[in-house]
Amino acid sequence: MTLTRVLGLLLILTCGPAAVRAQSPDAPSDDTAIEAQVTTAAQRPPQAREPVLRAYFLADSVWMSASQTFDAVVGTSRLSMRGGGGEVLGLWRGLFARVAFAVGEEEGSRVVVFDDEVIPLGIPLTVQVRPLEIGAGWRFRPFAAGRLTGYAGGGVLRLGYRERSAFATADDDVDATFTGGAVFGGLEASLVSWVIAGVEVQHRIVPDALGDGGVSAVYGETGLGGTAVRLLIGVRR
Amino acid sequence: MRRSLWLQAAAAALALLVGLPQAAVNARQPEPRRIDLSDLRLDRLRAMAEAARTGLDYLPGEVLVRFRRGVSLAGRARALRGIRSRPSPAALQWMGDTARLRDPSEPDPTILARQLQLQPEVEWAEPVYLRRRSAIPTDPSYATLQWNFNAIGMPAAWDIQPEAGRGIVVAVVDTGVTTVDETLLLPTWNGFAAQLVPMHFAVNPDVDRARLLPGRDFVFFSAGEPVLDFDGHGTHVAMTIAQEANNGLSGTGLAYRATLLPLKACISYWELQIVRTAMGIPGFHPTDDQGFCPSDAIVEAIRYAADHGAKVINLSFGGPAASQAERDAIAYAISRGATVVVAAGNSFEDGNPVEYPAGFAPDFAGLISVGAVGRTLGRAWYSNTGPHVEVVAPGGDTRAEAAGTGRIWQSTLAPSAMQPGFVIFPRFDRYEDVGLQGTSMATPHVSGLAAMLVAQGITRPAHVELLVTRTARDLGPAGRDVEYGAGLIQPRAALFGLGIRR
Repeated sequence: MTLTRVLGLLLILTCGPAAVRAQSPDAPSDDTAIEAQVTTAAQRPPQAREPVLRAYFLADSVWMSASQTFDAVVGTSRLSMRGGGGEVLGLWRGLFARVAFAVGEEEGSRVVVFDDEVIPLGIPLTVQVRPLEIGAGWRFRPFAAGRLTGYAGGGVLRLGYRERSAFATADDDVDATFTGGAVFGGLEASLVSWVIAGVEVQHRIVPDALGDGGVSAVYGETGLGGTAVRLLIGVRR
Repeated sequence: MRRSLWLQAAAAALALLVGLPQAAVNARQPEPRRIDLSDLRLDRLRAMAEAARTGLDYLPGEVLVRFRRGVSLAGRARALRGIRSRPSPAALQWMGDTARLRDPSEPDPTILARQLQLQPEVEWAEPVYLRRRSAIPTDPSYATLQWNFNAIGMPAAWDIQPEAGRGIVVAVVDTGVTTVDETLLLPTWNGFAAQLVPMHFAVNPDVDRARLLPGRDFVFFSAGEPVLDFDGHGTHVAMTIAQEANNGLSGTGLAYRATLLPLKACISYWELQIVRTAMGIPGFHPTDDQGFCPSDAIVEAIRYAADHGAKVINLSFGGPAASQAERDAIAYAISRGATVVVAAGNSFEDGNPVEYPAGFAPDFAGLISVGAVGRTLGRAWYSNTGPHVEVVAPGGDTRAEAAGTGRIWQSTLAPSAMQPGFVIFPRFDRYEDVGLQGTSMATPHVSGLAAMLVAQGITRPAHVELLVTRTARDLGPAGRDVEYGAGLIQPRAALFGLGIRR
């Protein structure tokens, strides 16, 4: 599934229930609900809120745990990823659930490694990492006049990994999916009533994804996880 | 004896008949250049002829000597006074930090070397060993079936590097690769008498002249030029490395855009025949003598290669005695950034002795010793074994194959025009595909691969060796073994390198 499709789906998921609710004569209007949230957030505990859907765009900087391997092949151990996600807030008190997807791609060269020396061979290589994150967490009591909210949680990662090289045979290229986990914590701010921005730190563990061959075997690095710093901008209803 | 004379006369007549159409060709060629005996390294060639006649493994009356660091001229003179003939230091001929000393008064060089070694100023002294080329000639035939390149997956390697080895200088220390088109008047025996014969030489048409450096002769011509191949071994080896590709002629070489630096350090039958005739010795040189490569010429050639930009040096010969001078020259070449590739030897059924310089391979990162496999990828019957064998490559094995299919075929001098015993007046301007087998033939596969690796950016000899052995396909018992070393070279794997996960 492409990133565009995932983002589109998330937006539909976010907007769809609102449209249904708007047609119900018994339901309070959305504007009223948002206004109530904003004006009473400081006084009311978050668990008092009704479930809220929201979608966001995200940008991750991931410091890969297989740092020597990525450094050698793509020249950096920090991968940039772009993606999006959706969350349902207030499932029960501060409990929320999320789905997020991102794609990161870097280009490098196949190499040979001699002790500490890495020699690029000039054979282009592209590596793509696609984490799909399904998780849940807890949102803490807002502070700073209700504009800032901290949260923490964890989840499961399904990490798609693709490696393509020029002159490769089918046996040389890699297209695989690995399962791992992530824990995260962050802080978000309400910019205006329906726009939030946040910063989050994730630690990801994807064991036994590397190390069977290639440079990762040379360095004995087996994980495709790492530590990510995520910036996100979202809309909510 | 009478029967032999008749045979030789018949051969002479046949040679004349065969020579008639060639005469028409020759009419368009420039006047043959008469070679004066002073043009040849006659004193040394005489020693070689003597060694060949008596079956010695070294040159009589010559040693290589290295003085300790910092020994002055006076110190050298003092050391030389310690030997019976008391030669002057001016008699020393220098090759880098090693000197050659001729002492005709003491024909046994082992005695000479021992006397020198007793002097405190001398680090080491040794005879000039004669190395034998590591190829076994087989019947000539035209063919284009170069199974050897498919056996090591070269098509995929050429995909990665279509300009295989471009710009990399590969020195071939061997019987030479002819670098000029020339006709020389040289003496030989016509079956009845000595005769000056025009001998034609031509550059192999299946190599781009722009990729063929002038090279240097260390054994035959005293001027060091031109480089001429009187045998075909050197050309065969060189063509495995860098025969032209995609030109519609014959076959191809492995690193077909590499630049060849031919260094003649070996003499063969015809040079010995010429010298023999020039010395007034009647008759034919024994045809079972393939010739040899004196270790002093090898040392000079290796140093010359290292000083003239060679990044790979191919040595397809060996012998049972370890030469310190060769060892030092190899160390020098490696220190100058040249990977040295050497044949493991063909003496498996002759007691399987460790042959040198291959025996030095475990001591040097950057010196690769190569054994041979046949078409079935089993060890060739002749290929030496031992801990010094580091990798194997196709060298041919006629015992494991139907005749003709298991050899290594490359364009070289046509045996029909120069094969000793069949031809009296040879010509060295005819080329055809010839099948040979030997670790001599396996070695240039690794040299070609080394050239391609250097072209890919792997410049340190130690790295080249590590990559060649690390990517080899394990054969025989699991892991490194004495028959196959690390296994069969895999050029594609070596050139393709590593990704993140594969």
